[in-house]
Amino acid sequence: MATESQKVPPNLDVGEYPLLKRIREKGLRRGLFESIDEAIERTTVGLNLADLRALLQDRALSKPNVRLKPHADAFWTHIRPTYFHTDAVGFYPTLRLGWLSTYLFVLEIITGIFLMVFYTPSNVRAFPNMLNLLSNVPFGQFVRDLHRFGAEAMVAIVSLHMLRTFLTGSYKKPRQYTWATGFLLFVVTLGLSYTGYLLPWDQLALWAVTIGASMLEAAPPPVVGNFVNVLVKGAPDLGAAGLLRFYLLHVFLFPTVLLALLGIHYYKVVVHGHSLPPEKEEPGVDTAARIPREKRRYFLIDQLRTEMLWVVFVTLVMVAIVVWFYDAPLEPHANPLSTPLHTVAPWYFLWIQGLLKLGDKTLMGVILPTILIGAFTLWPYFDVGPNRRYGARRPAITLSLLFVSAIFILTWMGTPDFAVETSPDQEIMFEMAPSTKVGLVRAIPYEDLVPGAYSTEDYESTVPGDAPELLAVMEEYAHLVEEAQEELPNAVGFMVIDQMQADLRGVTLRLVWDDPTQSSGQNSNVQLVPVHADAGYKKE
Amino acid sequence: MAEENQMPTRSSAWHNFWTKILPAEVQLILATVFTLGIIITVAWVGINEPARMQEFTASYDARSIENGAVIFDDACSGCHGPQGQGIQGVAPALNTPELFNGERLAEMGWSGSLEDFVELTVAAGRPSVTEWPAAMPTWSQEYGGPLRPDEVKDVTNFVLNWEETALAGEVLEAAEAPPPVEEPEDRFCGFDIDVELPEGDVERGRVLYEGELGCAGCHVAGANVVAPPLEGMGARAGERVPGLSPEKYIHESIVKAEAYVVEGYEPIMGTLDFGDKLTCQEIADLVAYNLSQ
Repeated sequence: MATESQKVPPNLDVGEYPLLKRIREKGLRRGLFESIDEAIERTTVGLNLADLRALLQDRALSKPNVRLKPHADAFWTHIRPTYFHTDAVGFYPTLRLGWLSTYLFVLEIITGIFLMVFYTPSNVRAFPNMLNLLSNVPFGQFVRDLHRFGAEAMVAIVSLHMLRTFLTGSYKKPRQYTWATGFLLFVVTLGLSYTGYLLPWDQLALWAVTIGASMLEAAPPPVVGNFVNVLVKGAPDLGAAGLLRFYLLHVFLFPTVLLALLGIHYYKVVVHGHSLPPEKEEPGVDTAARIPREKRRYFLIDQLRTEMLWVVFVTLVMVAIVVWFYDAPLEPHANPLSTPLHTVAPWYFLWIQGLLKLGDKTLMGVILPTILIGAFTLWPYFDVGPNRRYGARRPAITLSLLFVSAIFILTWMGTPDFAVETSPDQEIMFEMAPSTKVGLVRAIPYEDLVPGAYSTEDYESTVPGDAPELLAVMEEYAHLVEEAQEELPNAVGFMVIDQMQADLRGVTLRLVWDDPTQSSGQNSNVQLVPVHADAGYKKE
Repeated sequence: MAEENQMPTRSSAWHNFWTKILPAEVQLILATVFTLGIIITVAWVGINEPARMQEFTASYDARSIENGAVIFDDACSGCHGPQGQGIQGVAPALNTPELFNGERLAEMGWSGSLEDFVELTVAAGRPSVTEWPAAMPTWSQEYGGPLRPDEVKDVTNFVLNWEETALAGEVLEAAEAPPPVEEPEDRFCGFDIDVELPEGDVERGRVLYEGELGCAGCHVAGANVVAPPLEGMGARAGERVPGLSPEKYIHESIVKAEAYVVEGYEPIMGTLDFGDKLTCQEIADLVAYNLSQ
């Protein structure tokens, strides 16, 4: 119960309460409005309600131009240029790739924090955590897919951003340092993506990361290699300690380094402005340094609006992709004792895997990439020709396109299609029932797995008519065995299906072929593939 | 706005696409439409989440049973029978009503759930002396065995999945025997320890020992309940049986363990018949690994 004396403190000095003072002096409406206006001006560091309305309605602003003040005084706007040259703000020349890279980094932080809530960096808990995330956490799969897709997109977008900067010669004086920090940002992005790759602790993660991490050991001389290897992995091989260290690199060290570099990168853009398309300025002249009044496009609010539209559009596209087209992979639990056939590095490191097939691990895996990193970072300090026009830079542009082609070829060479020798019987088993993927057998619907014994020689007469998918797989099996006849003489493939339990059928694959090195004259490969009615395998 | 963004260059549709910026009103309308699109899509995901989570749970439970079946086939069927029907004088049946109707639990004086009973038995083994001559080895890495906790869970799920058929008393009909592809007799090395072994590989031997053969399940480091530990094997092997070289002694212990049983242990190794299961190369690898310890 409020009494009269409690409502108004007896000795209230309205001088201490500007709002009350204003209301007393100017009346409720006007006093309140002025206070709100002042609060907004303070929050936006310089723009009051009238200024904001004028900005949004694209009307002429008071002089001096009030939107310049937030760039001088406020944090979020001081890291952006006040205005841009109208020739540099279209889709060409930037393709908005730099902004997109920053946006993806922010998206990765937001989705990453969500994932951190449900994750423990332990070799015992990590994989069960993944299953829990996917089975028990609303939006768990959605956020994980978004994080994974965003990470891979970020590697691609940052690479394209770098390629674009190179092609338009934007790294040239005075932007050499911007390029150097940008290239290091690219390296850190790769590091982030790569360390994150390990965290699900499935077979895919363990073996893909093992390929790359094995290069640590190759750093010369051996004493350094061993030290670096143990420093990063916490043990000679990836295990509990390695997972924890990769996690800390992923969520702490690399993001911190990236933020620091990003700050420098952005600051340099504020200082030097966006470079114009090369054909729009005289050779050797940096027009962005002094933009004529009629060529200015202000960050507030025009450029900001365009950037926000772009972000909303990209978000919609990414959400649609992860909902309908993309699922982050999750293979069975990591097992250091069993190497799956055809293990590959993440796609953005396949070119290194290709290099490794060409030569020595130390040379191709450590020395060459280190030279490349150094050459890329310091490139603008050697390529000092002032002319940014495409026609004046034929050697550099040719070199860059050759480099891109080489990366594509090396990437192909990194895949199992190039120079990987395995035994043909293992290849057949891999096609039929790989240890970490679905393969042909598991994709057969449960009803079609009719118990019985079939072989590649008599399947046409023994497979029941109501099991078309089984028939199709037996056909494929027969085809694989037929193709391997040269290496596996007189090979015959068997498939025996039996009912192991209610709802569980066991498919035993057995491949037998003539092998004179065996005393019996025959060799075989046998594998049991149990299939449960509810397993829900989808064709790949 | 529009005038401000006009580029004073040649005009073509392509050029416009690259350089022109949409008018502010169009940008705002598009941004609103895209935002609504995001909201609707995410809401659609949210509506489908309960069904998706349920489907995922069913699918990973099923795959856990599949994985358990493979492990059972590798590690358990040797004693408990390929259909879990048990083997007389070796290990009890699991695919049997007694396990599921509470009789076995009562017999063991177990007051917890059946799932816990099976899981603990798989994980920790049964070191106590029971009516069965061979003690159940420990399988979980937590107790020095070869399996990860999730694999122990997989085996448990597989064993529990017999419930329906075991309680119904239904005997599952095995499929017809595979067509007569004779497993060549001499593919495996046999029980004669005088055969010449090829060069062994320590690493491959380790994989066999810790992995598919499950040796580490009984030969637990630091424990000597079920079987002698592996440590120091390289040093001990030559001293056990006079006249046998270390290689021959380990070879004999693998294929003909009953010939010399270390004092204080049950003669269970001999029942595993490794001579019928391993090639000479595999035995050589195991010997090499043993000697390296």
